[in-house]
Amino acid sequence: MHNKKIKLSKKARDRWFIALFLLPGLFMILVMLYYPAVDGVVMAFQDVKAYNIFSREFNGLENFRRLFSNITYLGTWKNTLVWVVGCVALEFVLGFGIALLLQKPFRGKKFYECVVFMPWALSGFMVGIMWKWMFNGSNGVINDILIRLGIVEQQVGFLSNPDYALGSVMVAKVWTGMAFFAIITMAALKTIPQEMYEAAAIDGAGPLTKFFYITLPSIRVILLLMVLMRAVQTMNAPDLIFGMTQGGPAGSSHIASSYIMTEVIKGNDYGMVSAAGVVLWLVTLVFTGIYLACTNTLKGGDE
Amino acid sequence: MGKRRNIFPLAGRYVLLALFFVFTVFPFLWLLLTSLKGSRELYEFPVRYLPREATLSNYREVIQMGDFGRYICNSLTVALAGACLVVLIAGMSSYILSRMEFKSKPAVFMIFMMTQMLPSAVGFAPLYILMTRLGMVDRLSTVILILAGGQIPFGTILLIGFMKGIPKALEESALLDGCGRVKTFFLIVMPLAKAGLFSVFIFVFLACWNDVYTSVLYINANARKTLTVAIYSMIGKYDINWGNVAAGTLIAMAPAILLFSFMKEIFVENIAGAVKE
Repeated sequence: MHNKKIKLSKKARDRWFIALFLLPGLFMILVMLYYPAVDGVVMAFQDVKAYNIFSREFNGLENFRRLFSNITYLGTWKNTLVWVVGCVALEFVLGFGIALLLQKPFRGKKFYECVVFMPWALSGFMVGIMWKWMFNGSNGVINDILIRLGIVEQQVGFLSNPDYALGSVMVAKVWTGMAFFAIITMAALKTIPQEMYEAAAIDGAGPLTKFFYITLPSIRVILLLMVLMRAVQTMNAPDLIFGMTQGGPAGSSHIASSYIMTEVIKGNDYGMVSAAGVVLWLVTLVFTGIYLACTNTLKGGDE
Repeated sequence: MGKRRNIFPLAGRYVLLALFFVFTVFPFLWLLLTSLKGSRELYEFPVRYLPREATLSNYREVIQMGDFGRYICNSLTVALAGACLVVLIAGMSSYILSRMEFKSKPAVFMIFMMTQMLPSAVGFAPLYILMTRLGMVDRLSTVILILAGGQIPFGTILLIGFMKGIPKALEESALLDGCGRVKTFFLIVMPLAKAGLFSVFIFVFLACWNDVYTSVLYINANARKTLTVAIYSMIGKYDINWGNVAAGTLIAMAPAILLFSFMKEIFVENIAGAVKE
């Protein structure tokens, strides 16, 4: 045995080593990520029901046809648009504000950051439950505060009224997501050279001038890219909705990804769910494509 | 620093800082207060903010209900095993991808990178069917494998950077001394990469601990429920006991809160890393 090992050339031994070390990772990725994705795309064109997973027959575009005649599903796309645009915009504005406020040192700044960024680490599902209780329509604390402030007269069914459910879920999402933009903006602000501000100060520029002529132009590219990246993440983040409303009432707070999630868990029509997954994938790819194209052109052009 | 422009006047700044602070802290505080209230006070309206007499009865009830100790153990098992598995496997693949030269390297690299483009939502039904066929549904090990599989590309890509930063000299002298490749990796390389391995461990641990989708989909038996699945069944009831749910949710959030408190920098660096690229 020992002799044989020594006879192997260094190159051959290296090859064995490479294979040995790469195989576990490749195996896991191929089985857990690539296989399901490919099979899911195939399944989108097949008739696969949860009660008989062994029968799979191709049925052309039937799944897509039924999907697009499903009113709840079509509604999820309207909600997805509102959810992505609304959440990302609010997270951006609030996070940007926090970052600017944190530019000057103050006592307890470390502790403050730790607390304000904390929601980022939490499970979306748990955060959803937390806010579900706060938004409770009969004895939730948010209703209590609004009544005490005289904003509403009696309790509002935030999560039971289809008009308010999506908005309520978005508040919870913004609560967890603003830390992202705060951290991103703080990192971006650090990249601006101080000399620019000093030079501007010598020229007599005020704080607003400096902000609009130095700060914003210097970080706008990176912020734009981060907004796109965050949009893709937000579109594919169903956990919070799953914890808070499970898409209800009557699908009014479902986004496309949370709809897919609940349908898979319910386990009815796997073919149709896969078709819904394919549609979501295509939309995600378009956004990712825009992100990558912007990264190349903007970064290339700016620096 | 003092020269920085200041578009918020001082007083306004502190008011805004305070507002953000209250907005962030209040939900935590409310969950804590809820968990300390007795069942009668819980549903009073107008709301009573501070419980008349704080009680730990919700925590007691939650812990006695079902198999709470078991749920915590299961969650820990999934998170720890998932994190260890990813650290080991991603450590190995990132080492190869950052150090060795071989013909199929670009292809392998692409396989890792392209996972970011894969449709996460498309794969759930097929994977579930595959696991059903293999008879692997309702097992903690299945949940661990699926979650680890999802995190390996992230771990590998993050670790490639760390591996590139490790000086080659130490490994080379170990190899010259007759130490085998595998031994060198475990005795020399892994210890040197520990900062990166540690970050990966923390992120994967939290991702597994926070997982809902996979555990809710795959776990049915009570003995194998994780905390998340247990809380999912608590809120699935028509008549939710919010005192109990609040206590359970706080327990389930505790690891994330603790990890973030002590290791905020790791999280911040991970997010801010996107800016530097």
